[in-house]
Amino acid sequence: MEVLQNLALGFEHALTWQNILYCAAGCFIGTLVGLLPGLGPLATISLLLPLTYNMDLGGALIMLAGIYYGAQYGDSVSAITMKIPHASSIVACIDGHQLSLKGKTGLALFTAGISSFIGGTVAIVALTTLAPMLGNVALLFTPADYCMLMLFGFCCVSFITTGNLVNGLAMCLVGVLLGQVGLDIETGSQRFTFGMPMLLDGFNLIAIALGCFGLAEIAKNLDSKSDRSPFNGVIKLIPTWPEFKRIIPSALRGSFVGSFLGVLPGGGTVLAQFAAYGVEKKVSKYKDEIGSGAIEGVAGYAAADEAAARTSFIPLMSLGIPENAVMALMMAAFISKGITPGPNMIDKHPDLFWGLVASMWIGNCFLIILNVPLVRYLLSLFKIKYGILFPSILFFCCIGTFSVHNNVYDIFMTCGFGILGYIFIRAKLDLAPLMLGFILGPMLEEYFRRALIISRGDLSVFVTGPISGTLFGLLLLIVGWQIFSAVFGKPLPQTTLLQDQNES
Amino acid sequence: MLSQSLTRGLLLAGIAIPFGIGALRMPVGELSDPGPGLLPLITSVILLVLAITIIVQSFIHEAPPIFLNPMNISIIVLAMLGFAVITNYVNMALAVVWLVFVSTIAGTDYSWMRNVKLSASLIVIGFLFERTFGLNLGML
Repeated sequence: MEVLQNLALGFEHALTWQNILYCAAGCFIGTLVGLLPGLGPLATISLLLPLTYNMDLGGALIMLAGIYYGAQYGDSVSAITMKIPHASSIVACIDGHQLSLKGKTGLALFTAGISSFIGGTVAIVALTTLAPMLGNVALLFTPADYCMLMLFGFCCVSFITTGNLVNGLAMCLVGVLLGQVGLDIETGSQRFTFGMPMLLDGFNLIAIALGCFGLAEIAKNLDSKSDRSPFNGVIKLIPTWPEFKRIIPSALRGSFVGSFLGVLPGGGTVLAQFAAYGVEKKVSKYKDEIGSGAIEGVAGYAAADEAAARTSFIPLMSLGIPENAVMALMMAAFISKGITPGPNMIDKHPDLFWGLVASMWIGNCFLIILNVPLVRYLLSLFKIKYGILFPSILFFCCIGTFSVHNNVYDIFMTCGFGILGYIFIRAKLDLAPLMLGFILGPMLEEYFRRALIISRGDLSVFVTGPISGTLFGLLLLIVGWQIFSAVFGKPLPQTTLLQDQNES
Repeated sequence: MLSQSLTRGLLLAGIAIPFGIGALRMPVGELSDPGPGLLPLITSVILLVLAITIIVQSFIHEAPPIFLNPMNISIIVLAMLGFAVITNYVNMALAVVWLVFVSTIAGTDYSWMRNVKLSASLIVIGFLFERTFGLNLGML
């Protein structure tokens, strides 16, 4: 009953005309971002973050969230029709593209759209019930527990996004080190500033994000010099009744898998997709067809993908710990408005939390309209040449960086991180863990120092508590698994596939 | 040519070492009273260990050579640096023209007419951003 009252409060905030407009804009931009090559949700949120400084926080969050989950929808479309996966829809290239090759593009798109809708709906129910509960649990966390949770998150993100714990963790640590630049939060002494006043506040978050995810990605795309031909196939969207009946069970299974995995640190959408695909391969009635263009292969992953995107808000909202780089940027949006997400946030700012949850229902409706009946019009966007797209992205990078402090030095900083990001990409180092480390670094330091002061320098505090001890055990398991894999040379199937698809 | 993994290791070591040296110059404090240098020192030491692991791995396992095309990233950076300088000393409208005309050199085809249209569109968008979002971009 209380949940319904809270939801009513949320709808009261989400259904103002400004917030509906922000939600629609977020979903539309997100879908475009998902469709077009060269600009992922992370870069787009980085670009738009400075613009939200002048907006009210509720509207800004609704729009940024819409971009994130809207991009998951749009990404499926490009993967199914043209086999162009961005970060999130790698699995769509398997059965979705196979269906497209069989002349059933419309069916694949309809399945992805409807399944995403179902996944989003199930995840919102999970978000509504789990986040407040987890918020209460979070009150039991000590500084040492938070420290271990962040380290556990670093390891999970490193392991899952890169498939290599050493490379991923190294990037997290680079991020943590970059986050140490500037004034020390406790003593006020300068660290790594080299006497430059522009570094007193540390590196500019937007400069790092746009340098690494904007400039570096553009340079990488330009290096490939591949012009993709637009999709010109026929789309028949409405499926037959037997086809429609095959969508629902797989979508429901995928929704539950995605909702669960989205909550785990580092879980996110990629792991959820592969897990849901694996579940379908095991339990589906048509499991023999999966891999060669089965509806279940599309429905399961699409629902899981969307569900995980929504439930990944749970750790941020209830624990104050972002589980991936996009959530870390969302956290930056909170902090820029003077609100620290965490256990008390839902009680202190119920309008924000429930408004965001309610906006997700509204966003779900926008997205189903954009991605099912209007999808054929969106596909014409592929006709935009990259030669027009990339200077426009550069322009938005420039004004995005400049508008934070109205300072051209931030553009110089973006250029520096663009070069560094390009070298990182070429050396096959993933940039998402760097972003997470950069944003969580100062928080990690604060909790680390606080835990040591409370325990009077006793390092065992990080492993003896029930929560920190459990997290430490899980951490050891991950490290042990990585060493085992390295020694016996058995690569993980999902990461191999992920890397193969990225290479292609 | 350097392999990808050796480059990775050297790059990470190149970040860890200066940060580690910098951290040693700051008060590290004690475990019961940690100073500002403690976490950077611990982090850079772990990063250095990981970097050395990657370097050692690069000699054991064969890795593909690193592919770097400095041309495109240089053009893009040049376009952006010019944008910053022109914005600072003239205005952003002119900076947009510079950005478009220089950055598109990195593309597969170059069209003056397309660049003129694109510059005009982006200048209009810039003005709209100034008016709509209240950003002080200094378009004129």
